[in-house]
Amino acid sequence: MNSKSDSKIELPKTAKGKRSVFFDDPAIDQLMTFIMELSTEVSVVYDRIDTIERLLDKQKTISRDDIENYRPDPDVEEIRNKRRSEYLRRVFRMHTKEYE
Amino acid sequence: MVLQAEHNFLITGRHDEVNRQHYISRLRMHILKEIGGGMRKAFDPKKTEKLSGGENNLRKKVLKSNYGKFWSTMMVSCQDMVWESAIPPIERAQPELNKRISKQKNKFSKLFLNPDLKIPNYLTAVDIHRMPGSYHTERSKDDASQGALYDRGRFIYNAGQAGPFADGISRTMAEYISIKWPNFYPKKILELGCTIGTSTVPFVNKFKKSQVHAIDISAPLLRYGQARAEALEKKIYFHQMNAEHLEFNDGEFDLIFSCIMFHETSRKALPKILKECHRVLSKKGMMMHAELMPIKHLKDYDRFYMNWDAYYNNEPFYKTYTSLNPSELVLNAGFRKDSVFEIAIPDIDRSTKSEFNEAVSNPSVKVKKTGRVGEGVKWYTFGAWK
Repeated sequence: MNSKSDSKIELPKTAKGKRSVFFDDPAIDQLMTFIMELSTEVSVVYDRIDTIERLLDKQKTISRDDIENYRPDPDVEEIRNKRRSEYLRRVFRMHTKEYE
Repeated sequence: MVLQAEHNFLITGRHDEVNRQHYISRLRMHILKEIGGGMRKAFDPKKTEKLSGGENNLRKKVLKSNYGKFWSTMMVSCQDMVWESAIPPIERAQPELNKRISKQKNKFSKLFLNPDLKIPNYLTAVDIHRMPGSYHTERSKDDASQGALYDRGRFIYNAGQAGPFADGISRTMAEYISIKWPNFYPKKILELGCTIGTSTVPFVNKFKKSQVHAIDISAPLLRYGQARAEALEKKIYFHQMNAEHLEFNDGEFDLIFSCIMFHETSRKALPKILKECHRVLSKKGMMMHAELMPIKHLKDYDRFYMNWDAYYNNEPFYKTYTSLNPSELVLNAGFRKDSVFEIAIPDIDRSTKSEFNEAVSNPSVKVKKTGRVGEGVKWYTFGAWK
């Protein structure tokens, strides 16, 4: 019988072991995860728009498949990474005054 | 950013998934370089005298501040996001990926699994690096999922800083050995804790006439590693084996190496592994292990910074490991005193040829930066000649 290797495989989503919290109120740690995940999704949407714009630069109409199949070349990836880094610097900036 | 080198078994993802992974790489770099950089500026005792007073004291002070709290919680969240971003495409690729791997004809590599091997407790107690399922978890008799997860996840984690094949440390070591000891040509090479063989391949490339063996305890990683080696056309003999009990003959290998493995073993296992290295090394054979820098070579801030992982990144042995004296352990394993070495080697991709050659002519353990990202990173190694 080979049924076990043919069945769907699910991977665990959380790690075994303690997840540390750092704030007196663990809700702030949880909130940071929310914010970081949200920042990720904004960046993903931005990249999708960028893909659409780049495709429309070259052709008049595009399909969902065109978008799904698009992979940036290293030059475009470099531009995206620069944009991601600038975005990160704007969103996640620490107040430094108290340490100066 | 360097993009990951594709191969037949690499699972990346759909359009949005790949962009999510690439963003998370940048996010991690931002936390390390920008927020981490600011934190160093604020708390490095060299600049703020009042905060000096040992690593533990410093850790308490940093973690009481908002800087330390935000940096730490973001490090942990980001670590989880790395793996989470790699998992959905791998689940979707299954069970076909496992089938593809088990049915492929292997022309270059060989795999020897041992289903009776007991996975040591130090590798099952927690999921190391917070990678869900850790190295060893198997869900079916031919499961290679953890290998696929490790391949993609580690690249996202590294943000391409170790090159397209994520093999920077190993390439650094292989290059160093070939330049430093040009008359040393190992016929038979062994890597300990090879995972998916990313660190094995540079030794295959550098020592083309050698027979290269690689061991790991994890069957899913080795299955994937073999598939990856086939895709890259690399001849490697993979063995599922515990480095504490090498199933090789005395004197069988001329070179034994490992890449950042020992700190994931245990206080009991470490001396056993070194003794086994001594036993299976040939006369005039050599071992070289890249590892975390022992704490004695670091200043307070770096001690705090490096040991942070021991407390918060599921690395139970990390702190004990960094407090040990590798040379002493090597001596206790039976090596001669005049043959023991500790050398910090400049990262091959982030050093000039003259910096690299300087480390060849004047080996030393002095470093400005080690173990994390950035310019001027050096990799700490220890080892000995038999």
